[in-house]
Amino acid sequence: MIDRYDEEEVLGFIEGELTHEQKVEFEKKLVDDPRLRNLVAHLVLDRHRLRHLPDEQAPPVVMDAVNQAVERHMLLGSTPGEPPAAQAIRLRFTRWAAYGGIAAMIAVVATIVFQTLYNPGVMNLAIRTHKFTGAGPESQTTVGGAQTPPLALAEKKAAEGGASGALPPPLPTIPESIGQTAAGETLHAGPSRLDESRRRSEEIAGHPSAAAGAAKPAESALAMKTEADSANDQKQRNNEKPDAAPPESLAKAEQGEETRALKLLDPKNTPAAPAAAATNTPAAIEAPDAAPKTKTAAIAQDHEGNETRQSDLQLVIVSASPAAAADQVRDWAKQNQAEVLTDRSDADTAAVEKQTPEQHADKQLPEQRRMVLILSRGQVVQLADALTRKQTNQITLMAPTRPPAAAAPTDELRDKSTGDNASGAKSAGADLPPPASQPADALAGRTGGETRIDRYLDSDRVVLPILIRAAQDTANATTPQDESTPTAEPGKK
Amino acid sequence: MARSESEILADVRRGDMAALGELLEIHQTRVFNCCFRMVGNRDDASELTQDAMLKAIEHIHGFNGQSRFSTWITRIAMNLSISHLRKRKLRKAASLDATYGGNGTPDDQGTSLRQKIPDTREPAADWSVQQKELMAHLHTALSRVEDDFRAVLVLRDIEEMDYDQIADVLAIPSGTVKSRLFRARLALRHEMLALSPPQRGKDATTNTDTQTSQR
Repeated sequence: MIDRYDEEEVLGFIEGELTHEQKVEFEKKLVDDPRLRNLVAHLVLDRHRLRHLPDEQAPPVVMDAVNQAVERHMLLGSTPGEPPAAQAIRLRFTRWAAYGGIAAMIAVVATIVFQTLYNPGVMNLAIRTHKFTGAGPESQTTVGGAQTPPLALAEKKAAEGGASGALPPPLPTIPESIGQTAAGETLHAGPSRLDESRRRSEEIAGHPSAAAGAAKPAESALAMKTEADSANDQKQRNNEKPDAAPPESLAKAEQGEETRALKLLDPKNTPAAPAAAATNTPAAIEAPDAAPKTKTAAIAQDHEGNETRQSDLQLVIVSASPAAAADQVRDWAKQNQAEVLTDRSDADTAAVEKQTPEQHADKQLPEQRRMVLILSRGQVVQLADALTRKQTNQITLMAPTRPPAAAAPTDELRDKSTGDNASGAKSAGADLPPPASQPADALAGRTGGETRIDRYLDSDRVVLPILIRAAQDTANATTPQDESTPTAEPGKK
Repeated sequence: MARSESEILADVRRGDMAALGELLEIHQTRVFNCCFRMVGNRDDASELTQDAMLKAIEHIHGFNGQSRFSTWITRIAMNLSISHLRKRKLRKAASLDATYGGNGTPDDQGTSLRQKIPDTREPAADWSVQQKELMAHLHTALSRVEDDFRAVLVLRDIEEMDYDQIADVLAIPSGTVKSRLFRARLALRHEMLALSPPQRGKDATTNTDTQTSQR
């Protein structure tokens, strides 16, 4: 029956929520329907009774427990809701710290990988910088005056040579030493570095003084190479197709950049040489920067963990009598406890090319001697000084050159390094062809990573290749000959 | 000088635990009555009130101030009470209204356990006998209606909450609150008629109407 009535209307009347009009209208229904009136009356009465139920007082034990809980929180000094908030902050901070640490590690790893992949010389540079920064006589000129930084020396040379004859300034970095492993192998740093090296080769080839002097095959090849490169570069700049195939003579130049150093082997190519000749003073000892950082001393850890060191200098002696100069070197080595590793004589291949047919028929080949000494670093300068005092030699101490291909000399040195006697080494080397820079090749250790002569040495000793060349003419004999040495034979060039 | 509830709440939010104790003491009676009307037992109501206040202390920082503190703590007490009632039902305790014999089995004498237990929860003695009997009937009838109906009646008539507050406490829509409230009133009336001695011809129609509405 109650379903006949509107729930909201009945409830609104009971709760007193009806408006005046609704209330009047509902009261009319109540008058008409006594059952509804009776029900509503009882519902209102029940509501009234419920609302006037007496409040029950809570037992005191309830608040005792509550007060104890409140006091416990007060004594502990913690707000009840604080631990979750502090914990949330702590968790948030820990999470962000972890994220930051991971991001930093990823960034570091990515940087290292990027630097390693795109700039492989960085690692070697780091090693080199750590072990070689500003140290050792190899990085500076030490004979004939105060030490001069390589860059300053190059600038001095540039000033002396004038605008046209100045050697190009050294690179601000160590480009050619960068990327050399302990085994002496060059890690190519990419096209940009190769282009830079070529650019330097071009500059050297274009140098007037470099064109003069004793011409060597490699040198001439380099000159052709650099000219061809310059022409190609010019064509590239003009958006033309460069020459596809370089001349065959460039093949030697492709073998390395050592040919640049060959130019500087000739005393006449060095800016300091004319001055030395004029004043009859000891010739300049070329710092490695003069041959622009061809091989600075390289120290690195090879694959076996041994520290290897290669000589960064080559002593070039231009003497009227190479044999006498070799004797002087040998005597000095004996007196100073230096070890003569190799001492042999060969022909000056560069001079052979310049021989006239008559000279060739007479087989009057100029003699040159190659020696390899093992001595301490300090003795290098002493040896140069001692030879200069003889006043028969013109001394040039410079960076060694990279050989075209020479496995046998390395084998020779390898035998020596592994304990074979020196005579065996000499006999083995006697049959070898005369490469242009055999000792340097041996020192470079480019024959496959087996036992090398470098490992024979401790870190304080170096292998010094010595090239003793005969003076090509009497005019170039800058010093009077010593009485003890035989007179230079003008016919033997 | 008594502080207002808002001032006390501000102190509570600043971490003043003494203020929280003060606030809980203010609402102690309300919470206890709510629990008592819900469970119909003082001991259980005391225990539930204590639990509700400890929960309020524990989760005071969960109170964001969107509702009144009374509503918030009543919700805690109501949830605890409903949970308690559900657990009590699950225990399958022996019905106090079932008649039992001497050996604990239902007998034919019509004597229930409720009648054997002395009622210590009666109102004060200064009430008139008629009103005392009426309130006892009302209390009994209230305890007999369903929990959902009882909760609405308690919140509406004892706690004097509006529909929105009831909806907030019980987490139901306001329309459901109205509908449930109307049905709860009819259910209470039905229980009151069941407890009261039948008055000839007066409440018969009302009893019939409420039974019809209960269906």
